[in-house]
Amino acid sequence: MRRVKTLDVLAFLIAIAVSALIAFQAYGNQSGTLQVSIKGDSGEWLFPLESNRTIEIEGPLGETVVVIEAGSVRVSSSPCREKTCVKSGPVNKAGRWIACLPNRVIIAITGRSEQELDGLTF
Amino acid sequence: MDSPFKKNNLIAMLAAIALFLSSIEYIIPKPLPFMRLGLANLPLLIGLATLAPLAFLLLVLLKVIGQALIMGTLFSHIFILSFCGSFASALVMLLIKKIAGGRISLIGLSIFGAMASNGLQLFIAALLFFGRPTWLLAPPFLLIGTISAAFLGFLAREYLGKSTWLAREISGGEQ
Repeated sequence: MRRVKTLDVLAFLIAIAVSALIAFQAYGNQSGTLQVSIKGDSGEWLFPLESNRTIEIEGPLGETVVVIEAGSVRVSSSPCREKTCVKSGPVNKAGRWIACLPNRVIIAITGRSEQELDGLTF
Repeated sequence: MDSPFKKNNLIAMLAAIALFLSSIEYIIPKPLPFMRLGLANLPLLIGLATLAPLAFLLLVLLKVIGQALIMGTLFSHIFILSFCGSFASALVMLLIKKIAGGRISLIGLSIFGAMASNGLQLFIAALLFFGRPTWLLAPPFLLIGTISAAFLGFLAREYLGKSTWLAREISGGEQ
């Protein structure tokens, strides 16, 4: 009669422990706060989304003014011609972004929550 | 002759069974894409127990290519995942079998193999294809992988103990 051996049990326990550890890592700090990442010609900045502030970013055309308020971020004024960035309005979800290509400013909301997948296949 | 490929028949036969089981697995509907049994790994486990290391690796290669042909994923990123996963699993199982010897059965080996394969696949998927969200999928993927691996290990062990065909094949086989 062959039984399950000690190392078999050990293998099972290790596997469960590793899965649990990854689950803890993956699901644990999901409620982390969202951040606003602003990329300009002179660097990249991170601000918490839940704050109120106005940031001026210097670009090749002039100053792009970014306003963070009430949990959303928007571009309030820009020196570019089309003003697409201003017209795109406020964004407030992870993964959403506003870009002002003429003035080379990219504003994105980063964070773990609400990452949506379009599709997955195995 | 002590060539590692001495048991040529057995390699071919096990590879054929892997191919057959791949197609069986393919017709079983999956509620979620990662909820798979990994039936094709059954002949691999039997190969692990009966073949020389090099012959076993050849069997793994045949299984990976055969499975990709059946699933139609030979030239896609899934093939990369499958290839890396299968070989990581094979090498880990060979290594642990060598170290642990009689203190581990096919059940434990199968679980370690599944961990290696799934872990590496997740890592590559996160690195190359899907990024961070991959890890949200990881816990159920690993958990289901562990359970099905234990089950397959059990099946393979029972089969090894009972099959007269296999016993004949291993003992050199008069045909």
